[in-house]
Amino acid sequence: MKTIITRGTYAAAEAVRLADVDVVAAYPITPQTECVEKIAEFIANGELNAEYIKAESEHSAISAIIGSSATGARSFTATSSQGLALMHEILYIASGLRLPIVLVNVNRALSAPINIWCDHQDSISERDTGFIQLYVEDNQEILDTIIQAFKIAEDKDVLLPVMVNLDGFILSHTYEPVVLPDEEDVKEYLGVYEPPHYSLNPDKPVTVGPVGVPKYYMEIRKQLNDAINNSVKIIKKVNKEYKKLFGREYGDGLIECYNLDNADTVLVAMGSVCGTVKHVINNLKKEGKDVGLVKVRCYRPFPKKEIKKALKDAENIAVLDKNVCFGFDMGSLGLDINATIKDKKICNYIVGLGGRDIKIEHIKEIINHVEKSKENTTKWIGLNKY
Amino acid sequence: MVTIGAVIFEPGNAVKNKTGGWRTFRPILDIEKCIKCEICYIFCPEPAIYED
Ligand code: SF4
Repeated sequence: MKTIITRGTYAAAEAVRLADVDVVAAYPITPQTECVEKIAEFIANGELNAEYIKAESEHSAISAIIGSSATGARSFTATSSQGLALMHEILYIASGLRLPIVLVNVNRALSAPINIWCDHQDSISERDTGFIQLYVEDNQEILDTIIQAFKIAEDKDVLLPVMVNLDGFILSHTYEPVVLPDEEDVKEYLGVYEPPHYSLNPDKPVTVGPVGVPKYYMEIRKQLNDAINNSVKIIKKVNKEYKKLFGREYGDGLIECYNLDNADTVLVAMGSVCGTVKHVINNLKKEGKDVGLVKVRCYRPFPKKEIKKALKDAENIAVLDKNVCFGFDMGSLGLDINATIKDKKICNYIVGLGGRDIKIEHIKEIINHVEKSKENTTKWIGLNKY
Repeated sequence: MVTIGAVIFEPGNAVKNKTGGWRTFRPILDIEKCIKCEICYIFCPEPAIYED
């Protein structure tokens, strides 16, 4: 075990090295590029024994690792924004074929206008692809979550791809101390991936990707839906195991509750903004005011039961979204919280689109607004005159 | 019944899958009357009709 000072993209690369991944296929895109550059360096230096495929597009990158994962190789790719959008049709194939791929998405806004900075529109747009979606708060959580992601994905009761989402620039290009677990410990923890369901092997041919006629298709989709719902248990279990072995946990693995006791006002958020929210909460506590936070770490499967329980005493619920469901005037998390919680005041705040800073004063503005608000509303925060 | 990922382990088991559920008529071939016009060849699924 040692502590290094590193940026988010490198923390992701370190996790891939520690997870002893077999195949990496990727195409460069800001702000992800450095992650796969670093992995290429590890392979070139002999620090990671893996096959690196320089794909001609993200569509090809994800296609290539679908092939490698189907042979039983531990497979990884990383992308951002337009790159993730280009992968779109193949993401459904990864989950449909039940392949435990780990994909790191460094969150970046979608065009147009072209913008390389952070928001969650890219990954939220892939919400229904059947991927497990995890969102992280800091660089340590990047490393831990990617290692956990392989454990979750490869579990015989899950067998699904996992998307680990980290905020572009805010995490990807920011240096923080990160504890690296020992290589041997991670190796022992993850073991060698041996596909329990099927693998491509010339000596034992199987048909992967046959046509699913109407007679079978619905059952196959239901099986996928059951698998992602059941993964809740495994995500919790992995979080606990990880704490035992490596000393760190993230709430119950699905959500993290922060200062909920005595808090009438509770914010719900995902990703790096949770750090800023916690900072504001700490300061308000010193002034004698309790505000809480529910950090949604696992966005899909959506932890309805856990969120319901966490928000049962809240009077003012403020949901922060770095994405917009155009035409519904809400963000995706706002919609989900509204669908989960009935008979409570829930206000939705659209924040930080395209890298717009979310400052302490914005969080305070949100707290004030939700407390004064008489009804459920949506408000864009930090918006200039236009 | 369905495998994880809908993978098929048994080669050639498509013959067990009863197809043709969409059909309303069942054509009956009368070799005696056949003039080899090949209309059936165009309309029938591959490889239902062989020239000889
Ligand atoms: S070729 Fe086919 S359609 Fe034509 S006469 Fe023979 S059986 Fe009938």
